[in-house]
Amino acid sequence: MMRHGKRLWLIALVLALALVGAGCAETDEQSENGDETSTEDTGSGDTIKIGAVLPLTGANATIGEDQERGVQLAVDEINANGGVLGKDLEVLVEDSAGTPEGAIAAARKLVQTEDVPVVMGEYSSGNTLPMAQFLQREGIVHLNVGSSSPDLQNVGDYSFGVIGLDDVAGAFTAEKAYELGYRSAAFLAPNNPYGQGLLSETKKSFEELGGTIEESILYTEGKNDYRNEVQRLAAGDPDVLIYTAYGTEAATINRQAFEFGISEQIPFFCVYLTLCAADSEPQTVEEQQGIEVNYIGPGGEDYQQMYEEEFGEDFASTFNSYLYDAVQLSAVAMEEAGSTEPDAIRDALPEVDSDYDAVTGPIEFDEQNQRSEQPYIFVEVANGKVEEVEE
Amino acid sequence: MSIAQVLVDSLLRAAELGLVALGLTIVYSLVKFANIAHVEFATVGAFIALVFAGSSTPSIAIAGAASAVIVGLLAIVLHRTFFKRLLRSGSAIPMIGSLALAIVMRALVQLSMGTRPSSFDRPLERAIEIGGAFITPLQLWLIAITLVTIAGFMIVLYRTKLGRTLRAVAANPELAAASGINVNLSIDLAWFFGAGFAALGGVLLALNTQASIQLGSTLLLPVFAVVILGGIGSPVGALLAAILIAFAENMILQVDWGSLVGDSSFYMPLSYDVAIGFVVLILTLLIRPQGLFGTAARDA
Repeated sequence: MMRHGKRLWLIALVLALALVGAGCAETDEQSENGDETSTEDTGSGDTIKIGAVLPLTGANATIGEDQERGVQLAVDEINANGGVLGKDLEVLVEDSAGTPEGAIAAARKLVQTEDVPVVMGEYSSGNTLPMAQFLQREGIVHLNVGSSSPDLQNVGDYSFGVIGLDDVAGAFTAEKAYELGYRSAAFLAPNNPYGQGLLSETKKSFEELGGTIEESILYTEGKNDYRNEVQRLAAGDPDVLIYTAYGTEAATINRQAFEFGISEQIPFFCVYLTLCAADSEPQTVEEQQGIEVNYIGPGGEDYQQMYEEEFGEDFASTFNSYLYDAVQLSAVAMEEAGSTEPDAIRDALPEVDSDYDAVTGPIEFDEQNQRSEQPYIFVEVANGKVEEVEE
Repeated sequence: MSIAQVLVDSLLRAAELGLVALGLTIVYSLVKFANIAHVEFATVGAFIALVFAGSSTPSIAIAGAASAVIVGLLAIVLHRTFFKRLLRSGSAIPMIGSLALAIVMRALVQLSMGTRPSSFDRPLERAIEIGGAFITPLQLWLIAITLVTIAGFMIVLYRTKLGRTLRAVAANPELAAASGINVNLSIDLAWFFGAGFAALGGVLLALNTQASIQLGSTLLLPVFAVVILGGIGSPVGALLAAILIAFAENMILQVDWGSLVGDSSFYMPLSYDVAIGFVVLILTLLIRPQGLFGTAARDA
C-alpha cells in the first residue's frame, strides 16, 4: 500500500513536469521556421538589414502572412527607387509562432546574430509587449505595427507605435455600439494585455455613454472549445456581444455560436473585424459588424492598387499597410539620420514622421512615441468580405 | 443553464476523455507504467487523420480508422525499441522516458504540421434540441462512436478468449507465461489497442473542435485524473471516472452557485476549468490512492 501510494505520487510529480515541459516544447525551435523575404542571402555589407517578427504560424498565421505582404511591397518599392543610403534594403522576417517566448527568441536572433537596428512586430499585444521590453533593454528601435495594448506607451524611448492603441479603439467601439442602439453588452476577449486593455477601455467608454457591460469573460488562448464562454455570455441575454478573438480562436467561437444558434439570437460585434473573420467560415460571420483600423488613409489608393496587382486579390486584412508604412518610415529615418545606428534612428523618427506620406493616414508621434491619431472605420461582413459601412 | 444541458455536455466530455483514458489504463494494466506520452498519441492520431481525410464523411471515417491503426502499430514499434529497454529498470524510468518521448512527439508534430490549429473540412450544422438540451448531430455521432468502440472492447475483454488472455497477463504475467500464453503478443496488443483508442479519441476531439499541437497536452491532466480516480489499470473504473469527472467539470462551471455564496448569481470563472481535473487528482491521491476500482495496489 505504501509503495503504491508512492508510485502514484511519482506519477503526479512527473505529470507536473510534463505540464511544464508542454509549455517549453511549444516554444522550442520556433525561430527555425523564420524565412526571409529577401531573395539574396548576403552576410556582407551590400544591404541594409532591418527585422520583423510576425506570427507566420499559430492562431494568427493568416494575419502574419498578410503583414509580410506589406513588408514585401515596401521593400520592392524602396529598392526600385535606389534603396536606403545607397544600398538595398533587406527585411529579415522571423516567425514568432504566435507565442511570447517565440517572439522574444525571434527578436533575439535578429538582434544578436543579424545585428539589425530596427525590429517591427509582433501582432498580438501579449507577444509584442515582452518583445518591446526586450528590444528596449537591448537598445534597439521597436516599431509596433499591429498591437493595441495601452501598456505599449510605457515601454521606453526605443519603442514607437505606428498604429493606434486601445484607448482609442475602445472608445470608438463603445460609441458605435451605442449608436446602433445597444444598451446592455456582454464582452469576450483573450486573457492577455490586449484583451484586458480593450475590456477596461470599452467598458469605461460604454458606461460613460449610459450603456452597461453586464458580463465579461477574458478567455484562455489556444483552447479548442469556447462553447462554455459563449453560452455563459449569452445567458444574460444582452443586446450585443462585443468580442475580439485571434484568427483560429475566432473561427472556433463563431462556428460554435453558429451551431448553437447563439449568433442568431444575439448580434456579435467584433473589434478588428478582419481579424475575427480571417479564419472563420464565411457563413458564420455573415452580416457581423465591427470596427477596424482603416486599411488606407487619404492618398493610400496607389498602395491599394499595388497590393491588388501584386497579389491578385483585395486586402486580406487591414494590417499589411501598417507594415508597409513601418518599413517606409524606417527607411526615411535612416536616410535622415545618415546612419543605421539604433540611437540615430530613434532620434530621427520623431523628426521625419510628418515628412513621410503614410498610406494608413498621417502618422505623428506623440510625446510617448505613439501614433497620436488613428482613424477607425465601421465595417461589416457582406458576401463573405469585410466592407466599410457607408454612413 | 438547464440541467439537461449539463447532462448532455457531460456525456460529450466523458466521451472525449473516455477513449483516451481507456487506452492509457489498458497499457498500464499490462505494461505497468504510466505513459505520459499517451496523450500525444491523440495529437498524432488527429493530424494523421487530417492529412488523409477529404471532405466527404466516408473519407473522414476511413482516415480516422486508418489513423488509429497506424498509431497503434507505431506504439508497438515504440514499445519494442524504446520502452522495453527502459522497463528493465523498473516503472519510474520508463515513465520519465515517456515524458521525454512526449516532448519529442509534440516537437515532431509541430515541425511537420506547424503550430497553427487546423480543422477537418466538414459542413456547418445546427444544433438540435433534445429534452431542452442542445447538441449538434456530429456530437451525437461522436458519443455513439465512442460508446460502440468501448462496448466492443469490453465484450472482447470480458467475453472472449483474447480478452481472457489479456486479463491473465495483466493479473500475473509469470503465471500466464507458464500456462502457455504468449505474453509478448498480449503486450503488443495492449499497446495497439491503447494507442489506437487514444488516436481515435484525438480524431473525434479534432472533428468536434480542431486539431492543434496542444490537443494532447490539454488532455494530460483530466485523463490522468480519470485513470487514477478509476483505479489505475481498471477499464471499468476509467469509464465510470470519465463520467464522474465530466459531470463535475460541467456542474462546477455551468451551475449558478449564487445561493451557496450568498450572492444573487455566481459562476465559477471559466479559466478554472483545467484546475478541476487537478483537484480531483490530488483528492484521490490523498483520500483513496487506489482509486474507485483499485486493483493496482496488489501488484505494487
